[in-house]
Amino acid sequence: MLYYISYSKVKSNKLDARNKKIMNTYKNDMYHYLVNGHFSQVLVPRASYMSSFEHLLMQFNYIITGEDVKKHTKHYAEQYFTEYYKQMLLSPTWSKRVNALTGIFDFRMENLTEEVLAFYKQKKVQKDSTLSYLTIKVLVVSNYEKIFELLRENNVELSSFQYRELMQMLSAQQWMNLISTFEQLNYGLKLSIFDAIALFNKLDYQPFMEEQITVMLYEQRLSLQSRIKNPSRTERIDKQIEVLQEKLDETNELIIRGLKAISIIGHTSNITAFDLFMFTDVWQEKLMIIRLYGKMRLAEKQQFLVASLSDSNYLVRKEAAHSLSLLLLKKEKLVDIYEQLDDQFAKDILLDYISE
Amino acid sequence: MIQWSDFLQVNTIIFLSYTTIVTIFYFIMFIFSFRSMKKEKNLNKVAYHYSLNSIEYTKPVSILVPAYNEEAGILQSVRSLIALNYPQLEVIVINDGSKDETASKLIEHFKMVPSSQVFQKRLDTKPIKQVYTSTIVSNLWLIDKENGGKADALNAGINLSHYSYFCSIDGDSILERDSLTKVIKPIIDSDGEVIATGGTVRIANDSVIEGGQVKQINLSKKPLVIYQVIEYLRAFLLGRMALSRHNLMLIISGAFGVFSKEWVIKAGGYSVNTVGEDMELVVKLHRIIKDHKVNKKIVFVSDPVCWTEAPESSTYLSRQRRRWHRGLIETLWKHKRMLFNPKYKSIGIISMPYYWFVEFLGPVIEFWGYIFLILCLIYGGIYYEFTILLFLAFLLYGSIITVFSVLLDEWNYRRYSKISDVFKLYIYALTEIIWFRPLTVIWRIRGIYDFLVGKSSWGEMKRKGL
Repeated sequence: MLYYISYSKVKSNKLDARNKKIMNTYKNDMYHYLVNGHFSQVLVPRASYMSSFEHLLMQFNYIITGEDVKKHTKHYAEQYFTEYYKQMLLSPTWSKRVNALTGIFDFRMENLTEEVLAFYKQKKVQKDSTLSYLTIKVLVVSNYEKIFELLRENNVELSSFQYRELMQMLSAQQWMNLISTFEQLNYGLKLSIFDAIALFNKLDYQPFMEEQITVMLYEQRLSLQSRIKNPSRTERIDKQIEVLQEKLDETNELIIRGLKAISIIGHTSNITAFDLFMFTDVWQEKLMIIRLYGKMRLAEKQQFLVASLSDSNYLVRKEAAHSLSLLLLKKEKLVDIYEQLDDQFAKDILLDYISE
Repeated sequence: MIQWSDFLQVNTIIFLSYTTIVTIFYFIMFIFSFRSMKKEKNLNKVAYHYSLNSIEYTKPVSILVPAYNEEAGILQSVRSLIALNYPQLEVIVINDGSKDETASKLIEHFKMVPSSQVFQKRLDTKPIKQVYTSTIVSNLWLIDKENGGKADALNAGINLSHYSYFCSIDGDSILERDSLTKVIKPIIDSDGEVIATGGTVRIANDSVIEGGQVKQINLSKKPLVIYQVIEYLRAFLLGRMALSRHNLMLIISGAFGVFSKEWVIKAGGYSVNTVGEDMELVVKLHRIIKDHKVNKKIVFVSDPVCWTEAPESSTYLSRQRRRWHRGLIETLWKHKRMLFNPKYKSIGIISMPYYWFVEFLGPVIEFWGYIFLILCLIYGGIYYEFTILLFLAFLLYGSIITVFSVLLDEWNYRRYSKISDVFKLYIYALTEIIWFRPLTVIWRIRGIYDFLVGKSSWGEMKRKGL
């Protein structure tokens, strides 16, 4: 075992030293190529140096950016790494396949889309969450238009982080395709769409989201609530209530996420449509609407915000104080409100913003 | 009247059965760890984790640093935390009534001023004297409170924290730049199914530290430290890695772990009545997961590293090990109803028995083994050839498991670049069972004694700082 450890140590140290040497020797040539497009023949990698050149390109890919750099990176990778990655995708070693997919993704190698699609269709790939997700990412950046159909067909459910990451990479066309099929999408994806609209400033889709919240989702919630209270006697009641409750929970969460998204954007052209949330029993909804009022600096909502300082929920009270501090930019006005308050808890929270 | 021969026979059967069961268990753990490591061998980890460096994808984290008399290392530790490669975080240092200059050093170095921050007291703690905030580093806080112990300090930090996840770090530890990104990945990937994660803790004595970062990893020249390095490798790369694979892990080291605040508060926060508050919290989390009948996980991630300072003298090491073993027993005793309780599924049927019979009783059996051997030498009744053979087998087994841990580390992480360091680790791993292990047995037996007499103090630790 000592022999094995020593041998592998010497081998890995040698490999590291060689990689370092190659990277040092060719980094200037690579930099000039990526930035200015001046290609030097020394950058044509020998088969045994492939991984060293891959590391070199990857390092540049993380530290420099720009349209030309991206174009040259892609071109170089497609020119020299295509066969290398094709072989790695066929490797029985899991880490090699992951490394290949990461490389294809990082260098945006669209010329391997067919191979990657074929790779994804293997059952063992779909069963492996890491491999399948990386493959989906590659297909998204390769502008594969039927990506969400593919996910639906294979009943793929990703985490919200993964959906969000995918959505940041979608092209305009892919976004349109996604929104047009909103009704058929799974719950997790719907939530992530709302998040993504705010996070990635997809303001074109804000009216769509607002319509979903104020009309469809809210009405749906009212209808679900009434159906839970008065379930049809013709059906199996317990089961029906359970299904309705689950749907209601999902709708409630969608409303909260939608409101959160609007509050992050900090603007809406139709504020009156959201006033009904001032009277909601769901504290998260109230918190979001308070945040929105603060960001939009709506003076007419001052009374509501002051009243919310005494809300039974601590987070709502804190958000109300924050919104008031945004609304009333002058410290003196906050002090006036402070002096008129009877509630000691509300006073303490407001004091925090006054002293800031 | 019990005959000596019967006594001899019964003890031999106990030792053989115990050693066989433990060996099988360790072997199974090795297989699990080996399979996980084999899968990730040669993985390009930088590229693999790169996308997590974006604020849109990560979850904000509050880093809690409880500090009691940590003036030697606290500045390095905080500097390493504020330099972390993580999009959104806050650092909260909790000065737990230190008698040294921990608080004043922080206030002076980071130009901290009193803050009137209002926060919800969701966990009971000792009174807070003052909360400070830095004027030069955003999101750096200092809670100056009365002494209440590490658990109490962490609970105070949880109360002040602004984010849904918190990371507990020891005041004498240093995180690698991308450690937080790596350790939180399972939480993000699982959409909240994973409620706590722990990373690897490694020993940094004699390594070169600059600007709060480990610049060059060296293996210490002190044998006592090298044995601890090996011990940590075995504990993290073999034990926790294997147990975590099936959600069986009962410890996330207090030096480096990320937790869901919501679940920790549900569990009542850190317990102030034990010195093993880190293990107690994880056991409590497992307990409420099963009580709530929800599918939540607690996982270990081997790649992210937290560097810490190991005791260099046997006096302080002995204190540490006594405390650790006392903490283990306190936790096991407090949650004794979980042992063999089918309600807690694999935790009650596998993890708890493992910690009771291998971790807790291990030193007792080993200690009794040494006594028994002496008795046999005095009263006779042993076959010398057989004993020597058994002793060699014991050495071989003990060493092989340890050597495998060194091998796994070298295979996958290659932290030590010098071949001489790896060689040294190998040789020490082979001899650990002769020198170091008997010492830890004695320390752990003293830990049991401390538990039985109801000792409650931590025991002073001397730090020289990383």
